Amino acid sequence: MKNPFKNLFLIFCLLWLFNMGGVLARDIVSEIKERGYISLVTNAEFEPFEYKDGNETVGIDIDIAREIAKKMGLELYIKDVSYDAIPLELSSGTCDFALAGMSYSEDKDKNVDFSNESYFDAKQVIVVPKESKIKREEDLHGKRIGVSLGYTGDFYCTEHFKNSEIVRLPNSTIAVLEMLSGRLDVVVTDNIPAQNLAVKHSGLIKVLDEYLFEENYRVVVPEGSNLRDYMDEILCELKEDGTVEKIVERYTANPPDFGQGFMGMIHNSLINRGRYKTIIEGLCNTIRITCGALVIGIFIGSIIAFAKLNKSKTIFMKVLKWFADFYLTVIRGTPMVVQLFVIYYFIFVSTDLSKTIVAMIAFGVNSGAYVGVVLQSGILSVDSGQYEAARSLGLNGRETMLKIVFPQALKNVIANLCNEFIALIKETSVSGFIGVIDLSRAGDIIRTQTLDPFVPLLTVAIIYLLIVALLSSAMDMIERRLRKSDIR
Amino acid sequence: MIYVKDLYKQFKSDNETVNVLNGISFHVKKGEKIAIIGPSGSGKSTFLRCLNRLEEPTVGEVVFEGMALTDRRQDINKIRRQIGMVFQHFNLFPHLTVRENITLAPVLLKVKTQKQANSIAESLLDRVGLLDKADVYPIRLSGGQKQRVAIVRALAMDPKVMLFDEPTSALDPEMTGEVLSVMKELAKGGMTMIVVTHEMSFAREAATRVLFMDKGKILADEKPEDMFVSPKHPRIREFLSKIL
Ligand SMILES: Nc1ncnc2c1ncn2[C@@H]1O[C@H](COP(=O)(O)OP(=O)(O)OP(=O)(O)O)[C@@H](O)[C@H]1O
Ligand SMILES: [Mg+2]
Repeated sequence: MKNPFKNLFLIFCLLWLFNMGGVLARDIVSEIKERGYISLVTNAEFEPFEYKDGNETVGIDIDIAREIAKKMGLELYIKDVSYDAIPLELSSGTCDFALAGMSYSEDKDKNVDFSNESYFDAKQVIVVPKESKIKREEDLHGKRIGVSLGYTGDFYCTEHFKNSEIVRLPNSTIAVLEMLSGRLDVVVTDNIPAQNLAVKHSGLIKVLDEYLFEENYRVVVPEGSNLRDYMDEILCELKEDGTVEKIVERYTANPPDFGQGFMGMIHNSLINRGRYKTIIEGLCNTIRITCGALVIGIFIGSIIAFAKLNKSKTIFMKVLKWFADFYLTVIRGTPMVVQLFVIYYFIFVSTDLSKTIVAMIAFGVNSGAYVGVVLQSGILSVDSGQYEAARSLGLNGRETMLKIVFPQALKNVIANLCNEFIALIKETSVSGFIGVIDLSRAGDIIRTQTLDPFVPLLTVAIIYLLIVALLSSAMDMIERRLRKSDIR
Repeated sequence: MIYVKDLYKQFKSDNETVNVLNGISFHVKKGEKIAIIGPSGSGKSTFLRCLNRLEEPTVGEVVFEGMALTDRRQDINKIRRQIGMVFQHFNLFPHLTVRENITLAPVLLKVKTQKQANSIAESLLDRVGLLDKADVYPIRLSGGQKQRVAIVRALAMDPKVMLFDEPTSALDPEMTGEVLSVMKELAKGGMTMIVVTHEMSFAREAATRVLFMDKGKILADEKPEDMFVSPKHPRIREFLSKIL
């Protein structure tokens, strides 16, 4: 499995500061029992442990979590976020425990606790083309090895095969495709996906019997609470009475159906198990986020433009101007993903706002900076004579702005605003980072289920393209209408 | 109707101050038509713009119909409704049709209903011979037509006085006539007018008084016949000999 902990070091330090005051050995168990529900955080992109079936999150880990909740007599809530975000969800107190195919490692241990008991032992195996000469671990030296970026296979190979070329790819599905096209000699990945891939590409690849190492998947809980011991107890019981074994068997007995040929792939990716529903859900969320962000962005942008252009020298305006400059610098100087993370994990950490709304706000705040600059230049492009003529007729400043300057400014910058809008749609594709199922993430989810990256990727791309094309023509129309007054 | 007393205007930039108006006092009575002439840069436009406070006077007093424009407590927007202004570069609103240009302010400021404003706009447009252009956008008008519309736009607010800042300077010679005749028409109708102009024919024929400005001061304030036939001041003689 992946190791999300390194690249988030900084955010962690901040979180640690936030939390310093009071979580040491808290009695979370009673707290949870009192409120009557327990919330699980996971990353539903790791079949068969956790994945989406239609709109439902299912998998080995999910079923085990259900058993845990049942033992505690509690209702279970499931929160699906990106893998990187799981430790943050725990340490910020948003969720109570995580089952996400996570295995213990020292640097992960810093901000969360791992159960001593494990519920599954995953093997890191070697996948090679059918007729490959690679037979065992030592044959890997000097070869081109494909791994999933940030997963334990990546760290293991980086450490053990120093003279090999380690190629880090987004996931094992793509790694195997790379191998099949001859750009890799071998792929190292988890046992279960490897078995599934072997079925999918049967006759082309095989999984070696010898494995590299074993990982023990454990329950992860917030640091320093009595929840860990409690989880250990429950896991022990679940293992002893055979519940865990039964669950694992249920999910691994039959490899998934992959569909044959091109039409089969399309059918499997889009129609089987109602997967198109995931796409539709993603599309709706993408549209919702974009539209919400647009409204917020125009609102903030107008305020920014107003602040930057206002000539009055009151304290209030000075503060507003200073703030506008600060805001523009920060928003335009930092990546969108970081802004999304900060807004989600620091500003809205303790609210009940849905993630879609938080994403809307984050993208709106981001978009506001760009809209603001565009509007400012638009207003500056209107001749000062226009302002004077309006004022000389007796219109006040606001009326002049609204009726005379703004309409002309808008016409001058409508093309730029449209570009901003189109960029915004595509930018929302990072909202998967906080676990919103937007269009891009819907494609990712299907990809992890079908082990086929092309159909979902292509579908998603085509939908984006269609939206953008539709919008472009709609905006052309608007522009033409606005330009009516320019035609001689 | 308009009193101006000891008006001074300075423009301050980072490294210098320019004294544009240096103590102007003057008085306009109802029905007077005043032409302001003078060399370029003498402060004519600045002076005119001080009369409706598009330019903030540095020192001095401007009183319009008993209301002090320079008094901060006065609602300047209310006063401006009664002072029409016509600009050298027309400044029509390009995103609005001719009719909308004319009716926007009266309707928005609730001086007239849309219906009243429309009929006024039409009768005024008819008077300046542009009724057929009511529904086109300004870009399709010639310069002279634009300026006539701009005059109509100002008139639609029923102003008590009209300020003109070189209304014909941006026009081709063959178009100045149509604008000047509209202005002369207006003068005959009894409108109080203050016109900054280089068009001596207008000053001579339509004005009741001619002001000569130089270096931010009024050098002469006379009847047109006195100003043009026997100018007293050598500066004025020099100026007139150059442009006539
Ligand atoms: N906003 C301003 N800032 C600084 N200086 C200005 C400003 N407006 C005008 N001036 C200066 O004031 C002086 C008088 O300008 P004004 O426009 O009133 O002259 P004018 O008599 O109308 O000239 P013209 O016949 O060329 O229109 C000029 O020297 C000009 O440079
Ligand atoms: Mg001038």
